[in-house]
Amino acid sequence: MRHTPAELKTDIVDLTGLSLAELQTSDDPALLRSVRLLAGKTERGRAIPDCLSR
Amino acid sequence: MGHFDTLATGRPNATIVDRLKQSSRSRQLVLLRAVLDRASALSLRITPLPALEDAWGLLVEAQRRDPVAVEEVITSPQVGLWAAKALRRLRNLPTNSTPLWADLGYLHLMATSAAVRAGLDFRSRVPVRDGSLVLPTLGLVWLSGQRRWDIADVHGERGQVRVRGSSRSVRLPEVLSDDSDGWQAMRHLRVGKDAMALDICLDDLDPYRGFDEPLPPQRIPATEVRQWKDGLDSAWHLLTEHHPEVADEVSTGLKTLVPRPAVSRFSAFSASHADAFGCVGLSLPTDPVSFAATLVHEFQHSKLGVLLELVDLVDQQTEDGRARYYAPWRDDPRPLGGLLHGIYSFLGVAAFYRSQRHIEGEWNSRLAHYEFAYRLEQITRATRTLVTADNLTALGRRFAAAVEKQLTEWNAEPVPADLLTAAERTSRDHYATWRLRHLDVDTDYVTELARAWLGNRRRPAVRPPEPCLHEPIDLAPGPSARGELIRVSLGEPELFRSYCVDPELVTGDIPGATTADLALIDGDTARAAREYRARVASEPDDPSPWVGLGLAVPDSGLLAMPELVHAVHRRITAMSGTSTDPLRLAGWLERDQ
Repeated sequence: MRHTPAELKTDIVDLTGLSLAELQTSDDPALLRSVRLLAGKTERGRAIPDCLSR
Repeated sequence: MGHFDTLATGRPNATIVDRLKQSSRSRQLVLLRAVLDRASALSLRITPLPALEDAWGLLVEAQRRDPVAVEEVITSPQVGLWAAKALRRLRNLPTNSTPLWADLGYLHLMATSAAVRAGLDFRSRVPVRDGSLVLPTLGLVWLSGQRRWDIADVHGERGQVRVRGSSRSVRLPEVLSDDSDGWQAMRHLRVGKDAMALDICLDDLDPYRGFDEPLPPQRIPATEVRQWKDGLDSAWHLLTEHHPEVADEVSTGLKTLVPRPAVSRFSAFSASHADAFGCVGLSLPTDPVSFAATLVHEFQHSKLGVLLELVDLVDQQTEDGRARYYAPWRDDPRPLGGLLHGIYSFLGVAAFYRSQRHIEGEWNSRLAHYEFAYRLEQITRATRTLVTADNLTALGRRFAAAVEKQLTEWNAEPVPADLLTAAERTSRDHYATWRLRHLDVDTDYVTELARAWLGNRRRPAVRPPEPCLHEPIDLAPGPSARGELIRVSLGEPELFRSYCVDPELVTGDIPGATTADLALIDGDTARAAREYRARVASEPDDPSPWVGLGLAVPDSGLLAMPELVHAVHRRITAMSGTSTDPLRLAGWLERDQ
């Protein structure tokens, strides 16, 4: 588990290679922080669907 | 140029899409963990179903047995949508009318689907709605019960899977992609060949395939599936032959198409959602070009949706959530995030038509030139607003600057003059209509102007106050007949001619279209002006004839501030009891400004 080694800083950890068993039990601080921030953002966020376009 | 700046140009890039897809996967897994944590913190019971941990245990077991099979389930766009909705629900935010246990029971359905795919021996219990249940990515089991909400037990052993409900039980077929008694398989569309093949799900079953309330399954008939297959096949052929970078990008990230009804004959439906990367809801496009353009449009939304989960382009601290802007592709005022989404989406569409207009052969290059010019008009106008917004982050400004640079390049490219004029006119039409529908003018100022007009005086030398957005915002769609008629005139000129010969035909096909609109698009501006003027007199609060009149007499000044002309006209009528000529009034307001 790691932060994406990208050009930009982000709250989403890269979970490539992490099993579902590990995901459930991991107490990696980076994951826990990501869970907290993303959950908060998702709960607050209102997705902007795009329907009709002129 | 880094990935971020390349992405901001709107040009297709499969490598970047692959990175976004991985980010979306990570996000979905983080959301699933968040759902588990939240349910655990609440000591949540979802009786009559087992605990969510049991479902997770089954997923873990299935992944140990067959990781690839489970991957299909956990990366399904519907899982992302469900997880986000579940989190909001666990925060007691209103989401839908489904009972909580059944809503959260989707995790049991996911786990069961994964177990079936992995060929596990297992037992599970799942929610049933109106006699059926959907195993995500696999298909629907029809149990025919009478209850609105119920449960079923699933038992898998040595490759045989049986689902037992309160009324009947169903054995799943050995080949899960085949329909059988009580089983409707999830449909797939496979088009193209070898490295340029596309295999996507045509989802008419999953409750989370709609982006709002969970949708009941709505099996489309086999003849319609054939139409979807043929339509996608033709669009895919166009993309792989002439837009290979778009095809590469789409095949990397697109997973699901959700069939939806069209709005009207000439008004298609398409939608996507930030929580469901790679899923597009759409009505069946009428031709390969519009099918391909719709995929580009919605896939751009999907890409930006993931990017906005990774980084902030709009400063959430200073975004007050109430500011609304003119978005040239929408009839209602939009927040800054919506403006950004539309710009990015139509940037991709403009790039598509920029190439498409030069392709020789069976394709209509005039319509493609028009679409390129029109989309460019829209995003150029919207980007001017975006770059001046004070709540963009530093990254947001960098993104907007990259978009602006791209637009500067494209705006310098030649477009046939008549089509450029048509695109500019459509753009003016929409903006003026939007202003009439959504902007309020200061009432004291309007009264002062009306008194001056009635007193045969010059317009008062007072700087007009800035109009403000009307509250509450009118969310209803505005008139769009002229925009649709222009496309018909370019795309189906024979049909347009038949409308001109027999105008009654058009009213059935394009709601709201009038003979004045036909005359305007046909170039008979004198007749159009005459008819619009009569309609302004008889229906003074309908924005369409006002704008039509301004388009038919472009030097009248009517479209500079249409809301002001309309408001003063209205006040004059109320004060004097007689109507006044809108063009004379517009000229007076503009001349003496």
